[in-house]
Amino acid sequence: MSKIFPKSANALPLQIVLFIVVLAGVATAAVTYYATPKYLRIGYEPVQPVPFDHSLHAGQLGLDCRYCHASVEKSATSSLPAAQTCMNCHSVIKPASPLLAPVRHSYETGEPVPWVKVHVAPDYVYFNHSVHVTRGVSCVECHGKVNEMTTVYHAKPHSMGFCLDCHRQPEKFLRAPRDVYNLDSPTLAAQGKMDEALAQIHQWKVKPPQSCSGCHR
Amino acid sequence: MKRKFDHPAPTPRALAGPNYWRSLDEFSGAPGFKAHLEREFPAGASSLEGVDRRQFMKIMAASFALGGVGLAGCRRPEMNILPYGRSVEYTVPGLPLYFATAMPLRKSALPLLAETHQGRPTKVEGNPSYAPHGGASSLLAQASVLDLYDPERATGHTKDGRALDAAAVNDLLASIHQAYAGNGEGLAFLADESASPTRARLVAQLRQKFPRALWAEYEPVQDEPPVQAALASFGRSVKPLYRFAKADRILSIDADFFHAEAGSLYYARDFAKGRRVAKKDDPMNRLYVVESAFTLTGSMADHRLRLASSHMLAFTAALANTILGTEMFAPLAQGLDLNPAWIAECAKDLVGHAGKCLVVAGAHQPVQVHVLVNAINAKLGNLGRTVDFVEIAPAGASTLAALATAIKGRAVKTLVILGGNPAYNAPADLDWVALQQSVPQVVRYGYYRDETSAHAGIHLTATHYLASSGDARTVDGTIVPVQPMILPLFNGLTEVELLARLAGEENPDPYAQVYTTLAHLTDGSKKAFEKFLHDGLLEGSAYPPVPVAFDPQRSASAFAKNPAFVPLSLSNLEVRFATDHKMDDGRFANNGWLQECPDPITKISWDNAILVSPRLGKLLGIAPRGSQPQVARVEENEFDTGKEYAHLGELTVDGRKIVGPLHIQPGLSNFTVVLPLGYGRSVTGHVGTGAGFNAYAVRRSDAPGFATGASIRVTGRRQKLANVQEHWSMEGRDIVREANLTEFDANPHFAASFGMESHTPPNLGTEGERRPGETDAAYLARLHGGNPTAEQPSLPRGNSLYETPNFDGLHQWGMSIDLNTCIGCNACVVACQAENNIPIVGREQVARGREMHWIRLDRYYSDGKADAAPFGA
Repeated sequence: MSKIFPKSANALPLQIVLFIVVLAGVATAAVTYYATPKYLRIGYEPVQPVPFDHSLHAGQLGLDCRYCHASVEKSATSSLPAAQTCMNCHSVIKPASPLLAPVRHSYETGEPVPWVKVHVAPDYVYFNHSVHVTRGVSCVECHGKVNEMTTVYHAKPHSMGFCLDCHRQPEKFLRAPRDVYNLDSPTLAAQGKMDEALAQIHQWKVKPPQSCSGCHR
Repeated sequence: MKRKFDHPAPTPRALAGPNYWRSLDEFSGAPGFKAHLEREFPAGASSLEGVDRRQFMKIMAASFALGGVGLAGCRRPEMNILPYGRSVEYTVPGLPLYFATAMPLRKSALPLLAETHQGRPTKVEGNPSYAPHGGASSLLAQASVLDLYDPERATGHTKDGRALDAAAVNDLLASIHQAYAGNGEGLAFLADESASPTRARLVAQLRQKFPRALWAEYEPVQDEPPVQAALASFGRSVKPLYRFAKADRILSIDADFFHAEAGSLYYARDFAKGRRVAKKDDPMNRLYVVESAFTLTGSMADHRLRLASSHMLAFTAALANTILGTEMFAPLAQGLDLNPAWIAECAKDLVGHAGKCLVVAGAHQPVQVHVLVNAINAKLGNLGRTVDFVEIAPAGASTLAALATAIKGRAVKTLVILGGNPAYNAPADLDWVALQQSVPQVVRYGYYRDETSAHAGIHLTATHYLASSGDARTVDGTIVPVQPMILPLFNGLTEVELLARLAGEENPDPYAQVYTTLAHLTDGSKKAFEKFLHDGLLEGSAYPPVPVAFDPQRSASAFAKNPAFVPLSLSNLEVRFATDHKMDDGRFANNGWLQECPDPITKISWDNAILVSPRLGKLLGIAPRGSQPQVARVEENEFDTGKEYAHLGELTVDGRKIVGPLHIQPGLSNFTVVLPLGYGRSVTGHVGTGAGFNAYAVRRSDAPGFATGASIRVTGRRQKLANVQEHWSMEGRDIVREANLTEFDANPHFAASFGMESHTPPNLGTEGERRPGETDAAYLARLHGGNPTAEQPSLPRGNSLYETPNFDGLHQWGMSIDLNTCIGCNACVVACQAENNIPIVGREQVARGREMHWIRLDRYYSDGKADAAPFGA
């Protein structure tokens, strides 16, 4: 009776197992790297209808974030400015710039400027801007250094782990209230004022939820 | 591990006390009900209708593949943020704004606060500035928001099927104004009732301009006592305003003042004031109800008597004889067959509380009943104390019957139908559709393209009240604004603008019209008007009470011609037409929230039913039976695993027939058949079409409230009803715990002495409970034996693993519902649905127990005694 399998086949089970282990490892690594918000979201930089330059307005000119994002301290959404807000200055400065044509059109007709959303919180997540900024979480923590961006891009992953990093240890990320809109300021922890951060947490009853229903509600 | 308890012998109360049950199947202990109880889920809970799970996977395979393999969801779609062009005052994106408005309904209105999100109304609450309602609203108000967004509402003006734009509509209205200039001969209006002062002003102008035009008003349901009764009793055009809070003893004669009467919310709030018992020795009012149907009011009664609506006159006459001490009304009371002790005791109680009691009669009752009630209230000194009378404008409008006569006489060339839906709800003997078709030009103004629009050449689209400028009066006469939350959708017209255009007003804009009306009532300043809009009411505009005196001489005229007493039997049934809790008169038929909301009494959703008493059910052979084990078991159940299979019955009244499911409703008068109105719509959206049967088909104009001479034939067929009454039934728990006031005064904690909780060891050991004023440290020390860090408590603290939190935080929330004042109106069910955006699931899914309401109101029945035969059969 001839042999069905050659002798070299004896190593085959081990080879198969090894191959599967390596393949699984590569697949896991690939998914971890390529299929998470860190890779998929960071760097998203859509073209906007008006090439608004944050580095000019918020950086060089030093406009406060709240001049345009007026409802950030009151509401869940930070809100984009009405065209009227732009026209406060641009009726005088560069009043005929072709780049500002959509803003002027919006101001005259009431039709909105179709800004493209950069940061999208999914429908299954509840997020409230006001509760964060009024407790000392600066814009920069989630949006990056917008005051240095020519076009706004997605700077932070906004994954669940990203949220939980801060929710678990808020004291490491808080700023003094006066520094919330100063995107260049260091956190209290970075200034070595951990006691101040802890006092702030105690005083304002900062209790970031870590339970599922805190955000998925 | 199961804990075993030694159950003590049942208390005497448990043996002799009331027995509670939810359905007749449960009451009769039918084997089918027991089988249903033992199942965790109703039959078919895990399968889709017609499609099981395997088939679902097969059907959806392609979609799954597209979603998963095609990586369609890899890149998020590009989304836009669309800010305003110019900032809107007060608007903060993401935060709601609240505006005062009001929901008009017939001759009254509910003052409301509407919540808007960036110009979209999403939810309404009662306006707290209106003190009598105290911020409350009703089931219909809560659900009315959905109608604004109904995709099946009329979406434009049409003439013979072709669309009309706003300019064409204005031309059309101007041409009608031109054509009838002079005396208005040939022009007729049919409107529904309204409480709007602006409309009243415009109607007066119209009548001045077109003196020979006919202005008729028609409402299918009557919710205010007939004004003829007031004229006969007092010689004045007045209407009663009841002061339930001041009444210690209340007798309702077929009056469902928690739902069917005008001002039901006003009265429910007022009643609760006299009903609320917060602590020992608080007083509590006592409610006697005599009724034929089983209503919300009846379910709150302390003493309830089942009596046919057509026998109410005899009852009232007998009561009047007793209280007035006369034999004058004895002929009217002839034939009344009921325990005289009930009347005697009730009369004694009323007389004993003279000046602090109140007798109320239902709006559908004949004039004689109301006159007798006025006489009783006058004799007991209640006038001006527990019932005020307020002056109302004498009715200037013609009736539907007068309009019908004019149409038959070919005197109407143009008919303008404002609101309403006569082709659906006019009395059957008028044959309204034929009448309407015989009019050369019919202009229909309505929110839906319904049965009436189908027979009208021109349809003008109405605005929703949340998109209208207007005004209205509440039941006590307070003037309230109706403010738009959004611009009229689909170029809708308000009724005020339409009338203003027909009257040839220079400025027909509804805002300007309301401003003009209010200018006459205030100092005329813009500031006063803005305050009116802001507050949502005009202070001090309520009708002032007028002194009235009962006039026996004049009232005798009301008894010139009295309805005869007719004994009822299986072959001579009484039908009672009832305003539906959800559909009202049919106007809310396409509202999914209301359709799915279970009826507060029958618990049927998505349908109405012919309600019959258990006695009648037995006589018809459809009552549940066969509960005893037999060799050859014959079982007749209403429900099968939570689904109601109702017998279809054919009801004949005066030769007119309707077919509908027969539902056995405990608490009905033996030979009264209740027909809820508002269902069986033939032309409406897909929500309302096919829900229930149309009870208007057997309604005559001379008997709108109730009629006798009906009979029922059981067809032998059955219909499945989505009845939630048996859903989530449980075994062996004393859910209903009630005691009367005497028992409460003796033991305010009576609720703990019922059922298992009365004798099982406490789940939370008393040791583990925090004592009043105990600090964290002291509590933990007591609990853990002086060592707060110890893992094991040194004290065995009851059986509790739970450390009671220290309740000393700044914000602490709790919610309790006072079941003593809860009337079961279902407003909370739909309010929760509106607030939390809960979907509806449809008739089929409700039948399977998949209703998604977060709040459920159970209805339990009790016969008073555990071993009593129910309903005195």
